Amino acid sequence: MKQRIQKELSGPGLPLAAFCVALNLSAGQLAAAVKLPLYLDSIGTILSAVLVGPWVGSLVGILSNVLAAGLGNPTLLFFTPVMVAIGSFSALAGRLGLFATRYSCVLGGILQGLLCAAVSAPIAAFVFGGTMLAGTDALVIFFRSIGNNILQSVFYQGLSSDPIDKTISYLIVYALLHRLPERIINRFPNSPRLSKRMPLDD
Amino acid sequence: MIDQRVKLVVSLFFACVALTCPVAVRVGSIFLTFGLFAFAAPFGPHSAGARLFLKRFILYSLALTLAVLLLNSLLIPNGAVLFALGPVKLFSEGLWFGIELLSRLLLLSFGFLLYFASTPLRDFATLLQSSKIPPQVASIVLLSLYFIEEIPGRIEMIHAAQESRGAALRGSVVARARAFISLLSPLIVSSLIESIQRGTTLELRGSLLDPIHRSQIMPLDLFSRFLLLIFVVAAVILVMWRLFYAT
Repeated sequence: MKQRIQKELSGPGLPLAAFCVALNLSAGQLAAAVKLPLYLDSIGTILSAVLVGPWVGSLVGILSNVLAAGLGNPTLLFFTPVMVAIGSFSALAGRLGLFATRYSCVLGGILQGLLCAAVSAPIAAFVFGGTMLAGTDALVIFFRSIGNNILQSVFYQGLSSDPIDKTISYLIVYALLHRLPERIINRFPNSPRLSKRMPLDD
Repeated sequence: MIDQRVKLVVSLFFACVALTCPVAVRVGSIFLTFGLFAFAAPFGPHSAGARLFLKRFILYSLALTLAVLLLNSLLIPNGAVLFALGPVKLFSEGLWFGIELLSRLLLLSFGFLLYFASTPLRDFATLLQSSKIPPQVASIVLLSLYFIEEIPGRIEMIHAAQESRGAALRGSVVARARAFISLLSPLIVSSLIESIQRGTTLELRGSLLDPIHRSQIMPLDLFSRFLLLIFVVAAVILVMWRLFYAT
């Protein structure tokens, strides 16, 4: 495992991981610059996992949550397993060629959203009782008020918002991968897989 | 001055209290964290920016606390009616459920903020560098801090450049989504090129080779060791009590 991490972090992998951590924490600012109501706090995790591999993707997710705790959202620390799930699954999605077309990318985003809902529901329910001090709390309270228990309410809330958020993130990473020059993509460890699976020149 | 390792253990102790103790203890501990922020210099904000951020976080938490309590009392229609105004009724069980949840969440947040508001992130990165975790992880944290400082300036510059060349940055949601990609692409391309250059530089300087030079931080003095021991033992006792005695 240590060797795999070191291999993925060699060359441009390490600075890319650092940039992707910062991107996770700053993408919200970018969305705010064009007045888009999106969080997009996992674009960096997905991008690093697709370009470099699952270990770096997961590491980027973990460090993003640790730094987010330091910069103002300590509750995110408990959702680190969700970021690990995003890093691992998006690396797999990259290897399976789900970033090749828009449609496969949407499928990947939906699957990723379902996985995130399943991983985050027990944490949100048992650690936080469903309340996260966020706008989605209203959805949890709504599902609870119509007779569901906390775990069900949190899971339904995840099912209704996570696939949308992750599909948008996947589509953004798809657009980025298709706009990046091939000479840059080729510098990263997963480039042979990406070049084989993706028509990068289209 | 209290060592940052002691502050980290104090934060973890408050997390244990949030996850194991009854609601009255949690509420009391929230006020205790406020007291530490306000009156204990080592736990106070480390800079003017941290002070402003802490003030905003407290105000935001208060607003959300009111909203969550109100919504829970309205939408969970069990228990006694506490307040009624026409068809609008507030129920006791919903209110109690809201207090139960919020006390845990706020204590977790304020507990971790005791460490992070009073400790610059660079000191945290130094702590990581001196610990047994791989040095690459600490390097990523330090480089991330550099990028976090750089990115807002770059976003502003790219935004101004795109606007001056006539790109549509306003309009419908679809137009703004396209504009988002046109802002993100140059940011990512320039940062990836910088990443490749930095990666080459790091390799040329042998920064990723083993054995690697690790930063050293001061050893703990006797008082800090004593404090550390007390909080670790107290946290272990709380967890054991919760696991084996509390129902």
